[in-house]
Amino acid sequence: MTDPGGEAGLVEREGEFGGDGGGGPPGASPLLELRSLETTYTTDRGDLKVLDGVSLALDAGRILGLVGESGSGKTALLRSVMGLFPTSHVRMSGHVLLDGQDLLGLDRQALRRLWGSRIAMVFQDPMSSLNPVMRVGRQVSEGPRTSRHLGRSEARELALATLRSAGIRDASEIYGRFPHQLSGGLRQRVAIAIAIASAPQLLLADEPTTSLDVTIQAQILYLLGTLARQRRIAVVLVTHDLAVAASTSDTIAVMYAGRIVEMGPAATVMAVPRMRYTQALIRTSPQAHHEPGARLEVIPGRPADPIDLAPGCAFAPRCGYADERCLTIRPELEITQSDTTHRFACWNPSDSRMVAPEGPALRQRDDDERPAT
Amino acid sequence: MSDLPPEKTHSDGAATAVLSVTDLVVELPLGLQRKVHAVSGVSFEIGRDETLGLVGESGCGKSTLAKALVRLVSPLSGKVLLSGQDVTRARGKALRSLRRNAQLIFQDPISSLNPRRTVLASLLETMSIWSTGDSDRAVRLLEQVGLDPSLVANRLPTQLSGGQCQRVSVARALSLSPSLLICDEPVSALDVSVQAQILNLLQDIREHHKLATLFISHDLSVVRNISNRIAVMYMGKLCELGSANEVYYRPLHPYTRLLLDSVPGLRSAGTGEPHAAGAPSAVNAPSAINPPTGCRFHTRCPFADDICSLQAPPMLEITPGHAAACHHPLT
Ligand SMILES: Nc1ncnc2c1ncn2[C@@H]1O[C@H](COP(=O)(O)OP(=O)(O)OP(=O)(O)O)[C@@H](O)[C@H]1O
Ligand SMILES: Nc1ncnc2c1ncn2[C@@H]1O[C@H](COP(=O)(O)OP(=O)(O)OP(=O)(O)O)[C@@H](O)[C@H]1O
Ligand SMILES: [Mg+2]
Ligand SMILES: [Mg+2]
Repeated sequence: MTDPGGEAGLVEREGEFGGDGGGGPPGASPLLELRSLETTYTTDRGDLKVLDGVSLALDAGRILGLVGESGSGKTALLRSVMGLFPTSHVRMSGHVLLDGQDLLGLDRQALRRLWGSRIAMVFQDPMSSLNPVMRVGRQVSEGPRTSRHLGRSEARELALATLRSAGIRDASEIYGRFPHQLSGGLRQRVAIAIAIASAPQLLLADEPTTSLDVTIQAQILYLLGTLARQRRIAVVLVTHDLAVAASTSDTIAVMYAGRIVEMGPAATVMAVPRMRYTQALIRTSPQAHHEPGARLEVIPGRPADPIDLAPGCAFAPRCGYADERCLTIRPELEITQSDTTHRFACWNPSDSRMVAPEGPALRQRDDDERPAT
Repeated sequence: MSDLPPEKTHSDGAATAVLSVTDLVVELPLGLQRKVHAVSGVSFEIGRDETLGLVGESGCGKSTLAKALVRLVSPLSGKVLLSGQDVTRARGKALRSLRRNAQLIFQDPISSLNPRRTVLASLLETMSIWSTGDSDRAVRLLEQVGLDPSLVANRLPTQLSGGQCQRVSVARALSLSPSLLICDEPVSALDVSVQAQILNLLQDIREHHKLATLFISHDLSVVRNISNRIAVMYMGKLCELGSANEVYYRPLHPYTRLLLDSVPGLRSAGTGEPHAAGAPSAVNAPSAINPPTGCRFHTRCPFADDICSLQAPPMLEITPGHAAACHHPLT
C-alpha cells in the first residue's frame, strides 16, 4: 500500500507508551480508544496544541459523528489516529488504542501495515490523496490486490463493485479515468471507494460528502450505515453538517478548540444539547425556511486561538452565559446524573428539560431562554 | 441584448446584465475520440447586484460551466459577454483584464492555493499583479472572512484547516473587487456559523459593490438563502430557471422536484436509519459521453413518455419569470 496521498512526515512520537496497558477485559474493549490524546504542531512562532486531552471510545460497528467549528481540530484528531501528518513538526502524547494495541508506540513501517488494511482515511481534500498519474481503477484495486492477494480480474470486479457502492453509476467508465478528469464529487467518491476497498476495521472519513448533492450524499451515508451494521466497521465521520451527523451517527462528539466539549447519543445531543457551544451550533443551522436574503445568525466573536488559550472554558469569551468561573477554571467533560451516556463540559449548561425545538423551528438568538440565575 | 433567444428569462435589469451567456457548449476530450458533453447549450444572464444560484447533481457540469466563463476551459461554441465584452474571443491583455473582473473561487480550495506562499503573500501577490497590493486591506479581508490575521497570515496552506483554506480563497477572490464573482461550493467545508458569516459577507458585498455572483452549491438551503434566482442543471443543460422562492416552492421540472424531495432534515436524528433516498435505486445510468436523446432526464423521469425521448424540450417561460425545459411541467 502506498502512502495515501503525498503525505510527507511521520510523527515524532513522545511519551508514555504502554503505561497502563491495553484497556479493559479482552472482547469487551472498544475497537478504538483515545486516552488523553494531545497533539501539538510546532511552528516557528510557537507551539499549537491542536488536541488538548481528547478521550473517547468507539466500538466496532458504531458510527461516531464528529462536529465542531472550523479549525477546532477534527482533522487533527483523525490524523493523530492514523499517525499521518503533512508535516514532521508534530508531537503527540497519550494513547491511541486500536483493539487494545497502542499505535503511538509503532514505527512508520508498522503503521504503514495498518494503513489501508486496518485503518483507512478519506481525506478532506480528495485531490491531495489521489495519485494524479494513476488511473482511478488501479488506485481502487491496488489495496485489495496486495492485502487480500486477489488476482487481476477479481480485483477489478471488486473495484468496480466498490465504486458502484460509493455511488458511482457508470463505474466502468470512471475506472479508466485519471483524477483530473473527474468532477469534484466524483473524486470524493473515488476517495471513499479507495478507503473501503480493503475492508478496514476502522474508517476515518473527513467531510466525505461536502461536494455531493443530497441524493448521492444520502447514498454514501447509507453505505456507511451498512458497512457499520453488516461488516462491523467502526466509523469516525467528521462533518460540519449537523443533519448529516444526526441522521448517520450513533454518538455525536462536539469539538471546540482542541477538546471534546459534549458527547452523547446522537438523538440526545441534538434534542437536549447542554453545552452552550453545541446549543449555539444547533441554533445557527441554516434552515430551508430562511427567506432568501435573510441574514443568517452567527455565533458572535472569533474562534478560539489555540496558541493563546485562556485558562477557563475556551468558549467563554463568546458565550452569553459565561461567569467568573467560566473564565478562570476549565470545565471537564462530565456525565450527567440522569444520563450516564451524555457528557458535557460546561459550568452553566442549558436546562436538561429544555428540549430544543425540532428542525426548522430552531429559534433565533433573542427569544432563547435566559441563563438560569 | 437583442440577439438573445426570446424564451429566455431575464433578470430584473436585463439591460444591465453583467454576465450574459448564450448557447454555451463545452466538450471535454477523453482520448480515443471520446468526449464528455459537459455543457450543452446553456443560456442565462446575471444582473448587477444579483446572485444566481446554480444547483444540480454531481457531474452535471457546474464546475465546467464556471471554468468556461473565465476561459479556463475553452468552449466549443456559444457566447459569453462580461460587461458587454466577449470573453470567448478575448486574447492577451483583454483576456487578462476580463479575468480580473471575473473571479472564480475553486471547488477545491486546498489545492488551488499556492503551497509555497504564505496566506498574506498569496493575497498580496494576487493584489499586486494589479498594482493595488496593500497589506492593510489584505489583513482586513482576512478578518472579514472570519480569520485571525495574526494567526494565519504567515502560515502556508498546509498549515491551515480545510475551512480556513476555503476562507482564504474567498478573501483572495474579493481582494480584486471583481464585477463578477463565481463561487464553486465556497462554503461546503464550513461549519454553520462560519458559513453564515461568509454568506452574510457575500450579501453585503453584493449590496455595496453591486456585485454579480454565480453561486454553485449542492446545498439547496444555502442556495435559496443567498440567491435571487436559481438555475437547475441536469447533464449539461439547464432544466429550470426562476426566482429562488418560485423554484423552491413551485418547482416546474420533475428533476427539481426530485432534488428538493431528497433534502435530509434534522428530524431523523439518531435513528441510525439512513435517509430513505439513500437506498441505491435501480436507475439507468445515463452517461455524459452518450447523453440520452430528447430530454436528458427522461430515463429517470416518472412522467416521461414518447415525446420526451424523441425531442429535447426547449426552455420556455411557463409562469412570468419562471422557465423550464420540460414537455410535462409540474403545476
Ligand atoms: N501543519 C500545521 N501546522 C500548524 N498548524 C496547523 C497545521 N495544520 C493545521 N493547523 C492548525 O490546527 C488547527 C486545527 O486544524 P484542523 O485541520 O484539525 O481543523 P478542523 O477542525 O479539521 O477544521 P476544518 O473544519 O476547517 O477542516 C487549526 O487552527 C489549523 O490552523
Ligand atoms: N478534464 C476532464 N476531462 C474529461 N472529463 C471531465 C473533465 N473534467 C470533468 N469531466 C467530466 O465532465 C462532467 C462535468 O464535470 P464538472 O466538474 O463540471 O461537474 P460538476 O457539476 O462540477 O460536479 P461536482 O458537483 O461533482 O463538482 C463530469 O462527468 C466529469 O466527470
Ligand atoms: Mg478539517
Ligand atoms: Mg464541481
